[in-house]
This record gives sequence, C-alpha cells and structure tokens, in this order.
Amino acid sequence: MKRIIPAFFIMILPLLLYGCWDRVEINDLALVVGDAHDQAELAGKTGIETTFQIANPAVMSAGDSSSLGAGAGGREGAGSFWTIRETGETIREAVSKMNYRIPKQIFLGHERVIIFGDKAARSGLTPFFDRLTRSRESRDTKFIAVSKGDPGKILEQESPIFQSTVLSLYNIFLTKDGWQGIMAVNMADFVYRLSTGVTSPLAPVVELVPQTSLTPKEKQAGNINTVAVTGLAAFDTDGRLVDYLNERESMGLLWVMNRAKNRVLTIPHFIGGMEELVSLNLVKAKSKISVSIGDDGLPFFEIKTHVNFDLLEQFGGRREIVDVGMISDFEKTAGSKVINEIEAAVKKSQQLNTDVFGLGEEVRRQHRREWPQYKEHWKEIYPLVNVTVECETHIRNRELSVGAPGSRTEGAGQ
Amino acid sequence: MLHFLRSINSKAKKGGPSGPRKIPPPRKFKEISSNLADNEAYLRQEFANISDIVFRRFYAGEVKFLAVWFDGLINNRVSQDIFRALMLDIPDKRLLEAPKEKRADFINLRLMPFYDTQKAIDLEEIKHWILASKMVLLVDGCPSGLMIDAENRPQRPISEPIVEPTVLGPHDGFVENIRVNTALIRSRLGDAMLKSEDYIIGRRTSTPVTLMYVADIANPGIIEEARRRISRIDIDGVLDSSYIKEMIQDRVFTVFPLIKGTERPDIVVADLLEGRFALVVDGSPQVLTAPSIFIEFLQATDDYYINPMVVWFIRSLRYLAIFIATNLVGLYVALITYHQEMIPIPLVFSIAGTREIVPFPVFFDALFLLIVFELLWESSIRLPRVVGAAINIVGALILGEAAVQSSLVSPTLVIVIAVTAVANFALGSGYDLALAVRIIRLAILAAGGILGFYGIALVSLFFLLHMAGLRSFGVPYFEPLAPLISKEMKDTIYRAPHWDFNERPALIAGKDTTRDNTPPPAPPANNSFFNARSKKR
Repeated sequence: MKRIIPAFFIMILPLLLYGCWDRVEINDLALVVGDAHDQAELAGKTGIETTFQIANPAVMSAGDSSSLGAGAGGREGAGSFWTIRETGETIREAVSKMNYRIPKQIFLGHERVIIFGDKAARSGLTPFFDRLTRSRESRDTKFIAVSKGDPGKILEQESPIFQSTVLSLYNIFLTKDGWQGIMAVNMADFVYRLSTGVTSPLAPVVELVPQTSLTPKEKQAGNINTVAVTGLAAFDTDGRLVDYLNERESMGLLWVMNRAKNRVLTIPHFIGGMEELVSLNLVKAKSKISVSIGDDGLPFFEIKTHVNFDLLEQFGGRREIVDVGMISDFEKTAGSKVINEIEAAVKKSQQLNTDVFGLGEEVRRQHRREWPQYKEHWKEIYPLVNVTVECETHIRNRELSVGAPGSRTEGAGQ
Repeated sequence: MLHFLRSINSKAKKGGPSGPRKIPPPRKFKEISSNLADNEAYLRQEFANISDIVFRRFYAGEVKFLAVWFDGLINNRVSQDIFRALMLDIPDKRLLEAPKEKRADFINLRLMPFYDTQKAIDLEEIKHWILASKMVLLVDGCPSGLMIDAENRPQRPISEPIVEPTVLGPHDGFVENIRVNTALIRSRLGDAMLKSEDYIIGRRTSTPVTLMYVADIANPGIIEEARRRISRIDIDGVLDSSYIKEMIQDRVFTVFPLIKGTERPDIVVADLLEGRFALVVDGSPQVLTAPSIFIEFLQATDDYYINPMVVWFIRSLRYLAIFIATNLVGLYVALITYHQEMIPIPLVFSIAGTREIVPFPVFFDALFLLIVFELLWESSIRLPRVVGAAINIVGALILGEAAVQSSLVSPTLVIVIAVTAVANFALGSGYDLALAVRIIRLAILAAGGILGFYGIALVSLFFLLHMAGLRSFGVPYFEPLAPLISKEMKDTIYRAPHWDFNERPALIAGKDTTRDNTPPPAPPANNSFFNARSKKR
C-alpha cells in the first residue's frame, strides 16, 4: 500500500493538466490552414492586420460523396475555404476579435503557410514570431513567405487548380524546394537564423501573377490571377526585410547553400557561326566553403561547387554530340554560368550587407579561435570580405538520343 | 478499488478444502450376496424411480442370471451377443460343474468374447459401473459380479474442428467422448513415456478426467502441482473442461486466458512434446494444455505446416491485428477529440467534413457502433441457423449503410469499426484471446475518450504490467519475451524451420530438453548422385 498510494497519485495528478475538459470534436474546430499578417493604420497608431484562411470541410466532402456524406452540413454555394480579416494592436487581439464572426473554435494546429506583408517585413518580423512560437498549437514546420503586396489578397485569391492558394503554395514549397530559384523556409529555419545574430534570415517571395491562359469561365468570374513563388527576400539579423533578390541571385544562393535540387540551365553553343541552345538538367550539386584568414586580417572565402548535369535538350542542334570536345565545351560554358550566378548573389548580399550564405557561421566553425574578434564587427567586415568562386561541372548523360533528329555527324552528308 | 480486488483474490486462494481429497469420495462397501434375489432387491431399491434402467433376468441352462444396464447407453448388438453366448450356445456342463463361487470367473475367462470385462465383489462398485454406462452381469450363487464394457453412448463422429479450422495439416478434431479423445492423442504419440492418470471429478456427474504428460520431458514439479490442483476440486458437476480450467488457473481476476483449450489433437501432441501436460475431460471437445504463455494464443496450427519464410509475415499480421483490435477505436476517438493536429491535412478535411452533420460526439458514436458489433457477434452465435440470414441482412445493410445515410455515424468510423472487427478474428487460434480483446478494447476506448493518448498509454501500461505479472503453472506469461530468452525466440514473431528447433522451452520442459538433432538439409553441391544416374542411361 505504501507504494500504491503514491503511484496512484502520480497517475491521477496529470489528469488535472489534461482531460475531458480539453476535448473538442474535430467538426467544432475552425481549421486555419494559412494566415497573412501585415501592418495597418489603426486610428493614428500602427497596428496589425491579420487574415485567416479557414477550411470548410463540409463543402469539400459534399462534392464527391453524395451518397455517403449525404450533403454534409455545408450551405449551397459556400466555398471550400473562407477568409476573414481583422485588425488589432497585437495578433492575439485581432484573432480574438474574429471570434465574433467565426462559429467554431479557432484551431491553429494545421497552419501550413504564413505570409507576411512587405510593410510588416520591412518594419521587422521579430514581434510576429512571438505568437507563432509561444502558441502550443503552432507547429515549427509551417512555411514562411513574404508578399510584395497585400498578403491578405493572396489568401482571398481563388486557386485555379488547388483547393486554396495556401494549399497550393504549401504544395509548391513541399515538392519544389530547390527547383530553379525556389527555396522553402520553415519557421524553425527562420527563427534559428534570427537567433544566431550573424546569419541573415531568408524567406521566399510570393505574388499574385496574372494567369497566362484563361478559360471563359474564369474570364467571366474575373478570376484572372494565380499565386506564384517569385524569388527570395533577404532580411537583416534583426528580422527587417532589406531587399528582394531576383531570380538569378536566388539561384546563385541555392548553389552555395547546397539547396539546389532541380535546375534547368540553358547555355548557348556556337557551331559554324550558328547558335544552338542546349538545356542541361541538374543531377547533383555540392558546394564547399573554405575560409582562410588573409594577410590583411580579413577572412576570405573560397566557394568550390561541383555540379553534375544531364543533357536534356539540344534546341536547333545540327550536329550529333559524339565529340568529347563538344561536351567539354558545354561543361565549360555551364560552369561559367554557375559561377556568374553565385558571384551575382555574393555581390548582392554584400551590397545589402546581409550574410545570407552563413559565411560568418563558416568562420565560426573553421576558425573558432579568431571568430570572437570578428563577431562584434561582422556587419562592418562582411561587405569587405573577398569571395572566390570555382565550379567544376560534368555532363554525364544525354538521355535517349545522340543528336537531334536530322542532325549529322561532322563531315557525313556534306 | 485495488484493495477490494486483492481481498477477493486472497479469499479465492484460501477457499476450498485444506488438504488433498480422495477421488472419488469414500463410499460405503456392500458385499455381493450369493443370493441373486437379494442383490436384485438392493439394486432395485438403489435405482428406484428410474424408468430407463433395464433389469434382465434369464437362465443359462439351470443357472439364474441378472443383467442390468441403462437403456440407450449399451450397444444392442453386443448385448445380444452376450445373451446368445449364455442362453443359446451353452448349456455348458462345465458352467454347472464349476463351483458356484467361481461362476463369475468362469464366465469372464471362457464365455465372454469381449475385450473389456472386470470382476467386482462390491455391490456399490456394481452400481457405479451401471451409472458409468456399462453392462453388469450377476450370477446366482456367486458372490461376485461382472462388468462388461459394451458402452455405446450417443456421440458425434470425429469431424473438422469447429473453432479452429485449418487449411493445411490434420483435419480431425476432438469429440465429447474421453476415450476417443485420448485415443486421438495416443495414436499420434506412441511412446510408453506418455503417461495418463485418471481422475473422477464431480460428486454427481462422476466425470472422468485424464491427465496426460510425457514423463521424461515434463517438469515433475509442474505435474505434481497439476495433480495437487486437480485433487483440490470438489464440485457437484463438470460439464465442460472450462470448469476445470477455472478451478486450476493461477490467477482468478484476469481477462487473459491462462490455460489453453484446443480442439485439435495435433496441437495437444505438440504441447505434450514441449513438456506441457494435457487434461482430457469427458464430455468436452476442448482439451486443456498448460502451462500456457501469451504468444501461444497468437499462433495458429497452420504456422507449423506452411513455409517458414511465409510464417513471419503471417505472424506479424497477427501482432498487427491484436494492436488494431485493441487500440484502433480508442486511437481514432483520441485523435478526433484531442489530437487533431496529428492528422494529415487532407485526412483532417475529409474526417471533419463527414462528421459535420453527425449529431453525437465521436466517443458515443464509436461506443454505439462497437456495441452494435458486439450485439451482432453475440446474436450470430445464439441465433438458430434459419434466422441467421435475416440478422446478416440487418447487420450489413441497415446498420452499415443506413446508419451512415441517416448521418448517425460518420463513414470513417464505420471503416474503423469494420477493420477492428476483422482484426478481432485474425488472432490465430485463440478464441479465448479474442474474448479478452473485447474487454481491453472497451477499456482503451473509454481511456481514449476521456484522456486522449495519455489515457491510452495509461491503460495499455496497466494491461502490460498486469500481463507481465501473470503466470501459468509458475511459468511467466510473457516468456520468452519477458524474461527474455533469446534461444526461444525461434518461435515468436517468426518460426524457425523444424530442423532448427533444437531445444524445448527451458521454463516448461523439465528433463529431456533436446528436441531435435537434425542437421540442416545439405544436398551435395555438385549433384553427383544425379549425374551418376544420367550417365548410366
């Protein structure tokens, strides 16, 4: 009995923390899949404007299961997703005001993407992350994005292909991370970079872009936009947005950060005075940054990138690719293109004074003893450091054909 | 609560007679009289008011005889043979010439061409034989009687086991007759070391019970303990082996089966060879084997007859099945009411969507459907076969389809309950375990509905601790997993090929622990025997 009574109490005590009174039926939850935050003017003060995208599962399940769901509870004409906007001095306050209009309990456990407006990003995102990291329901794996315009508009836009723009974005981040210039950044990444005080956080930029082709129905509904990821935004170490990187700079960044996974690189090739275009596809890329301390006391960096390509397309090609010299020509051109991209990214980041590559971190790792003296002045040092870039490229495979149809081996036929 | 259970437990342990009791209980002794009329009078008095008893008086030559038996329990042809032998074939002079007191012996040794006869000098014993469905013959002038085994009790033929059917392997099952059952065992295990001890249990039913074990394999301590527990039994009637099971198991308050009952002679023989003992009870097709361990109930006979490469998969399916059967409903309810963030997003939409118009909380929905399933289970056992089809239609169509259409339950929940129901019967040969799983499932559902995953963890922990503490005739219930005996892992989630079962379970078998010395199959690498033959051609 001496042992049973304490054991019994140990089992009973957690019931106070957790139990029946915390139970909520899943259908009583307003499942928030994405939210957008921006700065807003509130009677002379600056405040917060928050937009939520809330799922309406009853409508979704009613669509295809007429016999089973029995029409579910959704109203005729209600959309699968509902957006709601509210302002307040803090995020929590804005959310609490939403409760006047949301008939269910707000649940943030399924947030997938958070979009910040340009204004909020430029004034600093640090205050916004307090709610996101403090909340028990909130997950670290949700994706962060920045919108150049009103972020609420992105949530309000109907997605032409997916259930909602947020889920469309979520899927892009999930499946296209490292493709071309797309980099998915989740909350944990972002907050970690913020916490280092040296490395600059990054976030992908999302925008509404006009659809390139419209069905009559979409034209009639005026539904002419779709959401797209259009590059990266660089922040300073206090979480303030400094500037946007363009596509080329974003691509350069991905090479160095070892995040590039899928990339089509098109290079020109001159043969007999005529230009033909060759598209290469990334198979594997690996970069290494080595740091050494120069004579002037500043660290300098050597970035060595090793890239393997497949040959995907030879547009307007008239010669079969049987010649090793030709392939090494391609490799050389591709290598210089990669170097260009990396250098552009480095240049931009030094201009903006945002250490997006984590070069400071590299110094800390490789020159632990010297790092403390740089750490304090890293902001002044970073724009001055020297970075050299080398790239080794290989083309391994040219898929099924040796040359484009109609192409000739050199000399044959002529 | 715990205290309450404990007090009941200790009471149960203390109960019953203090010392071993003689079986059958001591009877009075009444000598057979030389006067046949006296004997008849005594028997008629003892069997007064019994209409289905037959007293047949007849003469063989000049000697008066009395045959007594219960109508319907005796093979008519055999009894006719007896009468023919005595009444028609002899007026044997030697019978008359033999001394009167030796007449019974004379008939026994010379005139009864039947395989089992026995002489008795006690009228009480005669009475007992009559009750044990034997025929009894009394001779005038002789102070002893004869028992003739012409027993022909109504009985079912040997057939495919009903509870444990199998695809491969033997298809005969035990029946209700103890002699047939022991014969099924003995015919498979022709070893003089297979011992059998008879007990008569039941003050009124006088049910024969046979304890069987292989003397040089079984642990003598366990056998002695089995004898002790059987001899403690003092009950008026034993109608099935489960009576015995409840009276000799180690722990009273547990839902888990501690002694295995099986209809299959091959399982019993396998258990005997592992050092277990078997209890054959007359009138029950379920033969008990013990000590039993938990994983036995997740094994099926087929496992030993099919390719061992496949067995690991089937066995892991069963382990999955017991997890699903116990936990799935509880986990579903806990997920829906407490841990919504753990459901993947497309699933959360579809579940939430279908639950939108369901008026009841998911816990009551789950409980409702589960009870409907249990009711269907119960009713399908009890129902007369003619009405069975009706219940099937009601169960399948009305309760499944209509419950969803009327939005009383969500379709996802119907699938969850259906999977649970299917898993409940995929547990191998243990119907006993399937019953235990019913209770555990309810407990886990309640815990999941009240406390979420924390509650499920708590209840699972409780059951695991409880099971780890169980013993069957002293053998830990979780053996060989806890205590871990790595050598015996050969028959847990996978089964080793038969040539690799080298040792018997150490905690169960007492003496001869070597099961098997077969080397692994090793055909010659170059197939020379084959080439030699083809060359000759």
